[in-house]
Amino acid sequence: MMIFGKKLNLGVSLRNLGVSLRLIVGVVLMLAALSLSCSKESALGPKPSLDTPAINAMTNKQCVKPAAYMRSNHMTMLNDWRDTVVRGGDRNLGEIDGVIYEKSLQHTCLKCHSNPTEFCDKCHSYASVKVYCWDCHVKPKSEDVNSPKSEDVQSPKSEDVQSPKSEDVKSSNESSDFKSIKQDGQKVEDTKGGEK
Amino acid sequence: MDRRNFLKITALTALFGLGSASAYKLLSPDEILASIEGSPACDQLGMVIDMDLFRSKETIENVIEACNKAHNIPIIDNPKHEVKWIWTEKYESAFPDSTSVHLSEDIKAKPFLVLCNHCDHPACVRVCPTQATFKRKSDGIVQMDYHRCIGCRFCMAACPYGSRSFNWENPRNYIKDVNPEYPTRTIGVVEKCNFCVERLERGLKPACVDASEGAVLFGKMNDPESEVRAALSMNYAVTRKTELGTGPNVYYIIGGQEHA
Repeated sequence: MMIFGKKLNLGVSLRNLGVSLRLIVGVVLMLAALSLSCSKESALGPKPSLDTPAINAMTNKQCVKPAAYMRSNHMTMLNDWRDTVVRGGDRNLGEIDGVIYEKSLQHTCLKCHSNPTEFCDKCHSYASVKVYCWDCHVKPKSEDVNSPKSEDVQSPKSEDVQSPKSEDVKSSNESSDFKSIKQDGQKVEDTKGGEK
Repeated sequence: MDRRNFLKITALTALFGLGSASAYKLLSPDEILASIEGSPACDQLGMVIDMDLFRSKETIENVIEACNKAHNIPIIDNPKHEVKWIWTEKYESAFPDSTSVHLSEDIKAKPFLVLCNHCDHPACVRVCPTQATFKRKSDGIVQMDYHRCIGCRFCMAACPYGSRSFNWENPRNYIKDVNPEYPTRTIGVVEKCNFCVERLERGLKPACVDASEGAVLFGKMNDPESEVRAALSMNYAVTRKTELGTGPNVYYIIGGQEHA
């Protein structure tokens, strides 16, 4: 038999066939395992956890924007919120599925995603993108989010400012004690009413 | 014309041009009018602090404490690194232009609450290179966008009231109980009183007003019907360093009701 101008002795090859076969099977198996793990990683990527009390209680598990949009654009959206809230005084995000939302990392995003370590950090560590939100904004400890905020953190009359309990976030119409806000920063109406 | 003369004439012309431009700016009638006409903001918010209505030092401490807790203000003992939004000063420090030798002992002893004056013409806003400090058009609050602050401290040099503090250290290390409702700041950023803009947006009054038991009034300075204007029409009130033309919006009733 001639291969690449060399004459091979089949008799000798046959002797090594067992070894070669084992080698080939090994390589094929290794490649298969590798490609399987790669495809698994690329198809699923890191899995940010959605297992929080607020999200579990939602019948229609919907973020303020579709998940695909949030996945690719949350950073620009948060920057936009930051500018319109801080510089324009406009906190109103509008109504989505009967719930009035506020443009707020602390009062909107983190009320549902009360597990930033399991949610934000999963992808950010995977992509090696540093989140600097928590340099200033207070990262909630997952266990703290379910309990109402303690009274002593605010001035005597400020209980109203406190975040809604997670139960409040769940049901659509009484989902938040956020009051609609006009551009000029003055209170316009109280969506929950009678709370103060 | 030789080269030397040409350069002389050019330099003189340039000097004259620059000089006349700045002279025009200084004497511009618009600027002078603007400085006495009050705030350009339509609903300028302001404060009236009635020093007579503070019954005890505890109330003043409560006021400061309420602000500190609401805004996660670090308590740093080192006076060079301390961060203050609202604090107390003696009369002669708060009103250095109107102090006198024979000031009453009562006034000398009083701790005057001082904070950002949310000026009509804030010097800090003029000098900020990144517009991290800006004056809100709607209510005239001089607000900071901490995301933009580069820590150059021009504003601290410009503010005649010392209302601004720089974070020389990580403030998180000096906050006992972090209030999750409001962000902290970070090292390298300037901060100051924001008239509780986050509370106003929720229909609440500033934390210091709520804690003051009626000694601090808050409202619209351009509305003659407002609580603050009513208090100002009834009492003799002063502002800090008025002669600088910044147009402070925090007024002090020092002598009490009988001075009306």
